[in-house]
Amino acid sequence: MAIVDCSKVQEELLHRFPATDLEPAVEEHLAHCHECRRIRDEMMTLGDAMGSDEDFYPDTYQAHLVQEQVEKAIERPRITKLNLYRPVAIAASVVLIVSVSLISLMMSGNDSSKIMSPMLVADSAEYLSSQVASGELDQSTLEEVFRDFTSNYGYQASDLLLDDISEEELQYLEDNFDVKDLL
Amino acid sequence: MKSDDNTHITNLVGKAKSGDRQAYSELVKLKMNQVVAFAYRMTQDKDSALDLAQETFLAAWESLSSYRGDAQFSTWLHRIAANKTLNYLKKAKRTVSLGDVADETVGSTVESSGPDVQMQREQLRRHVLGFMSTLPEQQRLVFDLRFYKEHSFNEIASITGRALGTVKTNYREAVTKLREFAREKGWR
Repeated sequence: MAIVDCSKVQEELLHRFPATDLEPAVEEHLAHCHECRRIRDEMMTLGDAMGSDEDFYPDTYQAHLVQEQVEKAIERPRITKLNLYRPVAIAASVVLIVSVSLISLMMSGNDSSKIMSPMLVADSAEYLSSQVASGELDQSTLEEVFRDFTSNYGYQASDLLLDDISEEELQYLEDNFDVKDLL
Repeated sequence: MKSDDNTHITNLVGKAKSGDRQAYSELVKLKMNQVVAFAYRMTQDKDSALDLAQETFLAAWESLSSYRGDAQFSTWLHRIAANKTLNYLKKAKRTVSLGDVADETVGSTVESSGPDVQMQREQLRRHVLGFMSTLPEQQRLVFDLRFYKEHSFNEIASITGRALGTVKTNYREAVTKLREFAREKGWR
């Protein structure tokens, strides 16, 4: 059945340009419609005149030059683009976690004057070590040291203190004192 | 024949992806003319077309590992060429004066017969470039990919990153303008 609507045929001609294998219904319409046939002929002329891809090919010499340049360039090692997003994201996460941990650690005493510093831990560990070495340490002194740390610097203080003394000293404390409650 | 070509290209792409430079050189040789021709019609400048072809092939080599084979290699390559060319046009803001190329009415001499085919071909090129210069970049791109490269509308949508409807509209407008231009020039 022929398409009667000229606008539909012309739309089809535009859409399918430069194809010449049209629908039978379009062909039938064209056989009877002078105006649409004129447009089809115009478009065929246009299609012919536009040439083909080959008409724009470079000459052999130009193509060869580009080919050479490309071949030279690919002889060089391939540039590997570094993906920096992942390492940067990981580093940022680590910094954030460490910062939050430090802040919470520092604030756990509720008093800025009680911020625990590594120096204090080392000093107390040194005091504890000297007490152990002199054999003057007793249970009450030990408990006092730990109690001071716990009340002043938070519960992590005793762990840090124990981390800072030697294994022998810790063994000495465990052998001679009741340290389980202190940890 | 065409499926043999496709198989050959697929093999070359596979080898090139694993670092075979010789295979890639062969691919370049096979696709060189098509890429240069496309860039030439888009930029209307021979030297720029050659530079853009080189850039396109180097960019393709660098990102070959990202080619997954979903689309044909030529579609993927044309996507790179189209991006390079549009970027170039954007930067250079190139506008070719219509009078420079289009006023040389070729008319019926377009047919490629006669003693000097080369000269006629050159004349045809100038004439077509004049035609093409009447189109906005996106329409020119869509028209080129459809008319000269014979890509389907779906492929063109993939190459240009535009909606299918937009691509069809671009093509329709391009053909309409070219037809009007041809009529104005008495080119029939």
